[in-house]
Amino acid sequence: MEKKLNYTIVNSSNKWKKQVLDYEENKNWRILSEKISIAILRYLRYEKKNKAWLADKLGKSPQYISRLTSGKENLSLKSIALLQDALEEEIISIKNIDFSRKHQGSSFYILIENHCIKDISIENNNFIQLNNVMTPYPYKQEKYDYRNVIDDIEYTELIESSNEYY
Amino acid sequence: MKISCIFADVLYSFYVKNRKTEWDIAYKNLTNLEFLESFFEEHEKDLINGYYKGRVQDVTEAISLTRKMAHNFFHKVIKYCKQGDNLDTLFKNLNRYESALAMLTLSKIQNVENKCDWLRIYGIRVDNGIYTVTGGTIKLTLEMKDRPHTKNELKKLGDYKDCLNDSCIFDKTDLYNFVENI
Repeated sequence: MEKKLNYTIVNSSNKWKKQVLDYEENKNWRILSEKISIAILRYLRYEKKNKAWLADKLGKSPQYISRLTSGKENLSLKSIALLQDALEEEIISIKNIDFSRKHQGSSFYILIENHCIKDISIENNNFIQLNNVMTPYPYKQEKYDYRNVIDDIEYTELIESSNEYY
Repeated sequence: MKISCIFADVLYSFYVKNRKTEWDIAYKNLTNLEFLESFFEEHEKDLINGYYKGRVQDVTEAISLTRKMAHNFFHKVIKYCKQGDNLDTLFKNLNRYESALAMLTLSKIQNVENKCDWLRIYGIRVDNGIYTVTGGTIKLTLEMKDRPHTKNELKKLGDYKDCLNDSCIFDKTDLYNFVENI
């Protein structure tokens, strides 16, 4: 390494400042876009694919794929759907939440295939039926993944019998 | 070797030959998702079982968190410089036993407000509130010498300090005179 300073250039590029301020202004959608980018990058790594493969699959230019993987692309729903088709993976999902339940003061509410399972509260000692076995619903348990429960639920039985149990 | 001004009269950065400044390189890397993905993939063991064990679940969370922290980090520097706040409150001594009043102190900025405070910008304190940046990286181990990329940052700090010494820059007067005389 050359030891002596021999040049000085004052006022270097302000590009980084512009980028930081631009990101701050568009933070709400940039964060979402970046989550999609990270998912793509992880997919490509573990499926042993590259960006050229994705460009070919989507019929887009390499520049578009670079923007896509850098989290700078404001993707439309159409683009996301095309991307999901190309990867054959669900990148984003939209929760089916009925907000009317929330405003009615419900303590807990989930929807299964657009059918509302009624409120579950520990005070009422409620149960739901899983494969005809009465199982206490672990409402108070933290980070409980209800999808495991849903897999085992016979939907119609649950809905029909919901009044009985809740 | 060249020295370049990042923010008027308070924040400078080194760069070598035709490369970008060390500041620009650090910014580009720490905010680049592809770089972060490769970095955390390579250092996954350090991430999951090392100094920050239990703080994040996986590489995906680490990338997302780091990108967010990096933005806050650089945005904070802009706010500090624009408001005219003293950079001494942002930079800390690299060696906790070294006097803050020593000449050309090796320093760092660390995102201490986050649970995963692994982002680092390294620099040399030229004078009260005046720094020259020598690089930046992600430090997942306890000591800088533990991994090649952090060891390299330590080497750069030493080399750049020698460079300032050889150019007789020991305080802001020396630095400003040096800038004016070019």
